[in-house]
Amino acid sequence: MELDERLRELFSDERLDLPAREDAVPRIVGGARRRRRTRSVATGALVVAAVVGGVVAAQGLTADFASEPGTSPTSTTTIRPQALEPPAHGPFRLGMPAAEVVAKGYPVAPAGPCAVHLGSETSYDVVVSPRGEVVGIRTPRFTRTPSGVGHGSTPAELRGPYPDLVEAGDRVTVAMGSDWGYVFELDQGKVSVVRIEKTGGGCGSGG
Amino acid sequence: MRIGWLMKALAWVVGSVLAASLVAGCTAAQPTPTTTTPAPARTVVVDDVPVLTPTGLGKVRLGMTLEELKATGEVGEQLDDWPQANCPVYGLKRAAGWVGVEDGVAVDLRLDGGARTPEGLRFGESQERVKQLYPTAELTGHGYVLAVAESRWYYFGFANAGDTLTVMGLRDRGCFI
Repeated sequence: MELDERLRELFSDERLDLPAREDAVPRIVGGARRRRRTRSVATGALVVAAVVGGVVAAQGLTADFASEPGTSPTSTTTIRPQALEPPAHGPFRLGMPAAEVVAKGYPVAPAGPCAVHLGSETSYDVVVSPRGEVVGIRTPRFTRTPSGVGHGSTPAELRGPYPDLVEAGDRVTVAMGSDWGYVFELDQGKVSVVRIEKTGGGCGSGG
Repeated sequence: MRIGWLMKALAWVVGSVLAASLVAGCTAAQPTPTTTTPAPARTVVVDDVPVLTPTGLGKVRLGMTLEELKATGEVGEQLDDWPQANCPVYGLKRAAGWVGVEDGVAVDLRLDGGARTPEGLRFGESQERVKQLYPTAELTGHGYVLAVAESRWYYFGFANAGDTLTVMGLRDRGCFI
């Protein structure tokens, strides 16, 4: 018998067949979907980890994973209160749509590629990016951050809650997360203006 | 015969591979019972932020005389840039804000940063957060007010009709309207 004939015979032998359950196909497809979802969740977790990592880098968060013999591991994340400060003040929040700014009674006008609302010193300036989102908030005079520093503070006083600040001429900047920070403008060595700005907002500091 | 033995072996291998593939597919399709539980997670805010309690802030207490306030070491000089206050007000050293004195005793602690309540309300948080932590707080024209004792109230303010907490305080009588 020729070899290829023998092989053909072997492969056609019904003893090689494994009887499949009637619901084999949907069960196999379901299993594949579950594995795909698992991969998606894992990818999402990596993204979350990356974002948290940005905040950790900016505001000194630490994460510890500890376990003792006989106990399940416990993850502990320690954060400084500054990590809870929002990229917002009063009626405005970074990322807010321009339409919402206008609806609150703050009309905006084109300014280069962006748009701005210019208010009095006791009100707000608001900068809107070409994508139509708030990327800068100049807060009213006398504003302090939730940490209690701001108008009238010296750079040394800012350094208490924000030890990683950067001084450059008449302004001090503080990275608060992966995509936003404070800008403190100085006048005669003390803060006169507090801005909340999106990093790389595309309009330049102060619009 | 050698060829015959080889064919049997090959058939066994092919059969095993096919069976293994189907078993693997069916195994993956089965919901896998899991006995593991997620690791307990906790977030700890590490801070020494002063806490505004229903009695005061740090060593500063409502009802103290000016002499007692000064003796705490946590009260500074009288502020002259608060003409809108209707009591003499003295700057605080542990948080941004002041204590107002009327009829010889502290009646109002007004803060605008660097503190929290025992329940964890912090500057910058939302009106929703106030309502969540203090469901009985009443919204007035000057913010949220919560009675904490006989003739004593917490107050929480949101400047510019906004949604970030900018003022918190404790008062028996108000020094600032």
